[in-house]
Amino acid sequence: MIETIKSILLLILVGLSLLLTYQLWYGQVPAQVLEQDIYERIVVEQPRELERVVEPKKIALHNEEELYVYKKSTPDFGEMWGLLSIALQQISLDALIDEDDLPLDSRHLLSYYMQPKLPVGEDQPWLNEVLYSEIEKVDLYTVNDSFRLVLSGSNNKFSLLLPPRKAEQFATLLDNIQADKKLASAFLTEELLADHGFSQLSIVEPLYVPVETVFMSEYNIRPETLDQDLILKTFFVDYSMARVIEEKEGGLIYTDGERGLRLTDTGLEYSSPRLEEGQTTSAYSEALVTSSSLISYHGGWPDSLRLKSLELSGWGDTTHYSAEWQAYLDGYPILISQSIRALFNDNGLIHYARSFFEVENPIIPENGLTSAASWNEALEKALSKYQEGFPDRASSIILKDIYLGYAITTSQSGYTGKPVWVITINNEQFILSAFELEPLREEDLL
Amino acid sequence: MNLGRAKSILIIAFTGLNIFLGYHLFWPDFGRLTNVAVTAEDIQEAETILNENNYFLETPLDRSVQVGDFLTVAPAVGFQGDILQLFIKKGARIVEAENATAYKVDNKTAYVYPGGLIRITFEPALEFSDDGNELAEEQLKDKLESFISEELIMPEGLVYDRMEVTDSEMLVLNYHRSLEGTPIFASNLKAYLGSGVLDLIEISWLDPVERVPPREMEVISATDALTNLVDFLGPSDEPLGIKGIELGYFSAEYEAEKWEIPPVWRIQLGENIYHYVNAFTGNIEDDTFMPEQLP
Repeated sequence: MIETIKSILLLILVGLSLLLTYQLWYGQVPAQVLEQDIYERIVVEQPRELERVVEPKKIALHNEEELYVYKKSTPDFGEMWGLLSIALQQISLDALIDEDDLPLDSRHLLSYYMQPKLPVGEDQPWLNEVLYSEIEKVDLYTVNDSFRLVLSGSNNKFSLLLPPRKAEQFATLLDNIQADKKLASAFLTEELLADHGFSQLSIVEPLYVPVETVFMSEYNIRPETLDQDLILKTFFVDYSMARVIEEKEGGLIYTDGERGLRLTDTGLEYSSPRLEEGQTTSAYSEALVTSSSLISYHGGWPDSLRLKSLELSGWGDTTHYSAEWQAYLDGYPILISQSIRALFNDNGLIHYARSFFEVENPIIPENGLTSAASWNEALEKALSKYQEGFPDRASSIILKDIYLGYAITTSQSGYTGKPVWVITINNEQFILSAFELEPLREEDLL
Repeated sequence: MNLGRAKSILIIAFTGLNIFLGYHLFWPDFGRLTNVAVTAEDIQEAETILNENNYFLETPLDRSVQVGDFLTVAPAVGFQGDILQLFIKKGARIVEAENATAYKVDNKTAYVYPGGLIRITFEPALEFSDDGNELAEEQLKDKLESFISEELIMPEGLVYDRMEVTDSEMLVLNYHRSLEGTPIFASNLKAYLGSGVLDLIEISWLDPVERVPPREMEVISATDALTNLVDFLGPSDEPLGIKGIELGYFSAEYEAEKWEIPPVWRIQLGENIYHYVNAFTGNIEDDTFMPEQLP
């Protein structure tokens, strides 16, 4: 009898041990543990290194009497910047020269307008043997047979003599620049403005305008397609905690009560306002790297996008960096009311908005490409609009910006990239269609 | 060695093995096996934190393990339509109103807002007293409920919540919707009474669309919710009693087609202060920020 009980007990114990082993191996984890261990591995774009984060806003090529301007996504822009960037990474302290003034026979070759500023000096990829500074402009000159770089910051300026091999590379690049892709421009001065009848205007920033006829076309464009599931995972570590709000207009909002992510047909917007109350202790170059991580992580950094600005702002003890990116098409900036931008501080990402459009195809009329109105015609129109709108502000009129670009407009058939003149007088921005110089209606602009 | 002894050794060995396996399986969550999420130590620890910050627990806590899920809700369009039909049947005419459609009949005007909110105003205000004598809370409640069922439409699942006094000395009777015994705090009815008169009824009624069962999870304990709230609010300037803590559904109001709302712990501080703690994340749900700059 005892033996039978022992056998039954043994069988039960063996069975129980098998069951417990199975449970331990494959069993369900209690809900609360599941919440903590739900971190999911996701694959996102690799952030760019600092060397690839900063690019010039524009590069001016001075060639004898002519001047050419290059912007992001124009041919040769990448090569011009790449060569300078590598040169600044490789040049040693020996290249520094004391002479502040350039000889009279020096010839100006290139001007790089750095926006955002280029961090150089200790711990930076560029000129890591000099004292730290932030460079706003780099000019390349040829003096006799040598090439000289002049780097200017807000408080400092210094010159470097290019080693012969680097000088040779620049000479080769300048010889090989695609002549047919060049567009002659003029450096806008108050004298030049006066010559065209704009003597009432003054200038505070270096501006360039095309002096040749510019042919442009409209483009069919479409909003980029993002993997919504992946995007969701990049903003919410545990997105099972996020709940969905379906907007009447079709947008979707995900929120966990502390942060919100809104997805629409044209982009996304994320906010975590409780992080606003925080400090920013990271240095400028660290913030550049952070901005790269943020955009790469949350949707990626398309090639046609350039970091436009990185600024530290805030009030009282609350500070944050604000980064903004600009998209380009054929070297012309694409205008959009909600561009890609990120606000962040030591607490993390406070706000991120992303609206990016991909180009489908140009809309070429049957009679070929259309020429854009000249800069002076556009300026005349904008100035008259300004004077109509602000008749009492006749004095102290500053032309702050003038450039050709593409504005994204909406219609029933979809989205169109429309060539426009963008002119900023004092703080008023005028967007005129590049062909007819008609102001674009606010409601048509995205 | 005989078979009997071998069995005994094996029984001892397997008993030991089972104890070992059972320890690894259940020890970290032993409390959960007994269906208790909050131990006496948890309550003691939470009370210490609360007291250090000038908050005092004056209500019993639910110590059991509880699960929750997201609840999808939508503005109660049907109910809104029924109210309008009622007004139209009584011969209401449309009057001008800002951001709302307004129907007026006799002394009642119903303002219907796109988000689902209905405001019914009474001009002149409706007598709500007992021959000039102020009514007690229970009498006010009974009178209001009979008025709603006779003159308006009783919303489905209406449950009385509380009475509060505003800064302008108005009495507010608060109701909310109940779903299988769980309050939906975001779906509510408020009646505003002046001195013995009914001035306004505000109905922000939501229809439950569906529960999201695959996302059913264990909610945080009441003690965790309390400590999270204290962490968020910081120390109180004067001693403040924690009068109630209750599990329900709540979210901010949205002008949306439908949305999911999370389970929350509603915590009552003092007489009239209510805070909502997300019962999944522990976040404070009082003022959810929504990004809305994109077109």
